[in-house]
Amino acid sequence: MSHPVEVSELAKTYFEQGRGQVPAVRGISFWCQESEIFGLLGANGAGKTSTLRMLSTVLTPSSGTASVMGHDLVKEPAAVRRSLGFFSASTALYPRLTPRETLDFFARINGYPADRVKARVEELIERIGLQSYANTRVDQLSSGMKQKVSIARTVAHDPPVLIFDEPTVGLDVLNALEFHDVLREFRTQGKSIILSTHIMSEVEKLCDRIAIVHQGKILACDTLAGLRESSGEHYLEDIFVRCVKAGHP
Amino acid sequence: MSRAGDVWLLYQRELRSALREKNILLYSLLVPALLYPCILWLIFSADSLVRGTLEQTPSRVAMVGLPPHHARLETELVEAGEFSLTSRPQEESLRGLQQGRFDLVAVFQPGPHGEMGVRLVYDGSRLHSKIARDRMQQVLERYRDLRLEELARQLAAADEQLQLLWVKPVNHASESQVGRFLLSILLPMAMIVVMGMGGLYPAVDSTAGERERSTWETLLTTAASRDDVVLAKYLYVVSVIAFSGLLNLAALYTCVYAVLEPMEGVTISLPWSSLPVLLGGTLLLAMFMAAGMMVPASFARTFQQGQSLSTPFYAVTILPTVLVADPSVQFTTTLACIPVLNAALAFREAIAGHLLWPQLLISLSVLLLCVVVSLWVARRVLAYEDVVLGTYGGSFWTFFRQRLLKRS
Ligand SMILES: Nc1ncnc2c1ncn2[C@@H]1O[C@H](COP(=O)(O)OP(=O)(O)OP(=O)(O)O)[C@@H](O)[C@H]1O
Ligand SMILES: [Mg+2]
Repeated sequence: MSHPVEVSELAKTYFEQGRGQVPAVRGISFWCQESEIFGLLGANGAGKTSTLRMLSTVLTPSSGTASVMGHDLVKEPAAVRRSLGFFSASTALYPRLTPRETLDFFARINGYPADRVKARVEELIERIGLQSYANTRVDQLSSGMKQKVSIARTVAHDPPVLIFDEPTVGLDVLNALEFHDVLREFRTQGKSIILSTHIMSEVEKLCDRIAIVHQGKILACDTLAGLRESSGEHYLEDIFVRCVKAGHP
Repeated sequence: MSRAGDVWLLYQRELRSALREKNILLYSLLVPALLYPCILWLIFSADSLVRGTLEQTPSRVAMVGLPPHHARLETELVEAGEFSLTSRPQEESLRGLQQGRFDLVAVFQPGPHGEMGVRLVYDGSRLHSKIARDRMQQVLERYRDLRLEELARQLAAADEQLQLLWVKPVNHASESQVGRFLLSILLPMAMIVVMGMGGLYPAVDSTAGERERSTWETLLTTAASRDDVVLAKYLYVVSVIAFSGLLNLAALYTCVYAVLEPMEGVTISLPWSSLPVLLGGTLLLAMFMAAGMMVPASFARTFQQGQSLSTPFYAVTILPTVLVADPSVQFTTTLACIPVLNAALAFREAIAGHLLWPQLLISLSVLLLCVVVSLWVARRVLAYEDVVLGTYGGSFWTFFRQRLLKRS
């Protein structure tokens, strides 16, 4: 049986002037099922963003394959993108559009049925509590509000797969907690969610399964309970350190 | 959704953002629309300003040795109201002229029979001095005519006999010059400069600007294909440039017919046969300029970088159009091979009513070739992931050397 997201031996090597070949991802495999939050936990430079950018077809993999909702990454990139919502630090909003225009544009361009776009946009605006700012230009919104619009933008076309790359960076505690609730809500709706972060507590609280990524490889992949059992440590922090040390004696 | 539907959606998005950007409104709409009215207004008001101030300033004239029996001349000079007169010895007067205290020195030399010679000493390097000379000459001629008339009457001549020949000069040189200047010099150059200016901001904004604001990746993760995203951007920039050009043309027509036509003595016509050349040229230029400015700008990470990367294209292609202002530069088949300049020359000749077919055909092929080549380069550039994502280290020129020419 196939999962909404299946990743098999995905690898990415960059070529950089001066540095030469930079192997950022070296054969990563995982899957993510419906109603699941799958966590990618790793230090800076571990290769999380590179993996997720390949999954969202922004980058072409150097080797390996992956599929989203049964669509192959390389053969059907447009179908893959239609099936997922991608959120990262480098997916900003158009500053000169209003939230309403933004949601309308992203719903339509991602193939949401045209006759239902209006209703969908209003539903999202209401859900994020942005009624009074729906016609204000995005560049005039506070960063908390921008974040909300950005999340709404990610799910505007109601995709079955959601990818969040370090979504709570720069958010205050209250906004971060609110975001956690939103993620849980998405999970209840049956979405497959991939969350990349280096914040341990976030992973502990939210993720159903966790992959510990280090230097482009997955060192361990299990539920929190499973990781505790196999490592003999209780705190995720200790589990992480032990994994990294074991991976590199 | 269909591809056309995607491109149309993306295109609308670009345009909507553009219409909310002050700079785009300024350079792509306001400047093209208001350039000619402003230039015309400047020319006319500068002209009348200069004339006005000169007319109001009295000419300072030093009179040397006016004989008493010609004292009536002095009365006439005073009545003319354009002079401030002083009587001074010759030496002092000439020194005063040299030092700029006088505009003119009139040295009167009485003859033995009551006749009189006048030497007008002026400073040819000063406008005021020349005006003083002209004014003085007019009064002197009138004075002489009156004296002659008196003399003739004393000899019992009839009035008709005195009017042997009369001349009435009418000067309309300045207005028709404005018209000719505007058409042959301003139009081709201004139109192309305006198009370049109108296109530069959108070209950089939709490439480097998008990257600087981190919206590029948002766009790349939508279901639209990469080709469609790029196509929509290209069409957007092409249409802004073409629109700037057409707006400029429309402003020119309006100006010419509303301001210059009603003037006496001005005969300007923009032949309708020039329209196909102007419209087709505008479209081709827009296609070439858009690609030429977008490709280098797409290597930049910030708007500023993008601007400095695409400015060389602007300078190299657009500055030569200055040549069009020189009437001795002919629209030869050689010049027809230089892109952009050839369009400017074609515009100039078309406005003058000349359709030079060989040159037009060469220009058309050259511009088409430029469009095709620049689009091919764009495709090659977009095939490289690092350039698309903005992580490529070099500029367009390093890319050109290393990857297009395969040298390092
Ligand atoms: N476009 C690129 N060109 C060259 N090297 C890159 C590029 N992007 C990333 N890298 C390198 O690849 C490695 C993995 O980077 P990546 O951004 O995937 O890590 P990450 O886990 O997301 O890190 P962080 O937590 O800092 O976001 C790093 O060494 C980085 O320097
Ligand atoms: Mg990252």
